[in-house]
Amino acid sequence: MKLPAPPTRKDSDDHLIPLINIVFLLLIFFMLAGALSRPEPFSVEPPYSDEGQAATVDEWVLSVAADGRFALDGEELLRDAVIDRIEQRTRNGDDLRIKLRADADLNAELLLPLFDDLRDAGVERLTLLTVASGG
Amino acid sequence: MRIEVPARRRNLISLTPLIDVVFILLVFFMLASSFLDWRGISLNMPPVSEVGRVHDGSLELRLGVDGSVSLDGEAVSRDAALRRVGAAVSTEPDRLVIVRPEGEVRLQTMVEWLEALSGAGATNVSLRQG
Repeated sequence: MKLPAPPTRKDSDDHLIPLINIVFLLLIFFMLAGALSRPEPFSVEPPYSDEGQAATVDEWVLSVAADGRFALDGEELLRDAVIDRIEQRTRNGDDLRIKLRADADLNAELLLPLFDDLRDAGVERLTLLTVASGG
Repeated sequence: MRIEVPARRRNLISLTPLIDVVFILLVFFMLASSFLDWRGISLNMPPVSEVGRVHDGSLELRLGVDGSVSLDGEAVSRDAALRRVGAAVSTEPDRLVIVRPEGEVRLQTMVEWLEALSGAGATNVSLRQG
């Protein structure tokens, strides 16, 4: 009696290699092209602008949400705590450049008093972060 | 005639776990990376004592919520304001331009004005509480 040969199981890994090639390419693209950023506790929609030099979002980034919440380097703080922290840093004479990431919908009456408080806390240079509008 | 089929080389490790890990890395980098093109605008910090100070020769630009503009107390159009500022700073490049937005003016509007003023040639622009 002749038994039918069992269906030969194809080596299932072979046809996955092109897939892996593509996935590796995507992985390397995202690793190189994207800048890793610390997630913010709230979403900030920055204003659009074509002015200004290219900037990096690294340290001493003060985020201000449209409803007036504050976060310093990704940590949500009360306004007084933000000023305190900046003051502690500037007290030893460090030249501190604050990068302000404020929401485009933020009002002048919320934002401009902050400039005075930052000045009083010893901040000498303030950079307003914007996003290039050209796509 | 019998042709010898070369023995299939067995994969040493299975590729499936590798793909799992690579996919997880891919998803992580897709979610964690941002492609925003950040720009920085340097702002002049307001001076220490603002109250009662008279700014000699400075231009004061007030921005209203409804889009109205007044330059040194005189209501003007946006283009006229930019023209006059441009004319003033062309003779005196260090001339201070103070922008005083009303309380409800949005940051985007302020940024657009800073941009326009810088395009008109003003280098010494200060954003202050109106």
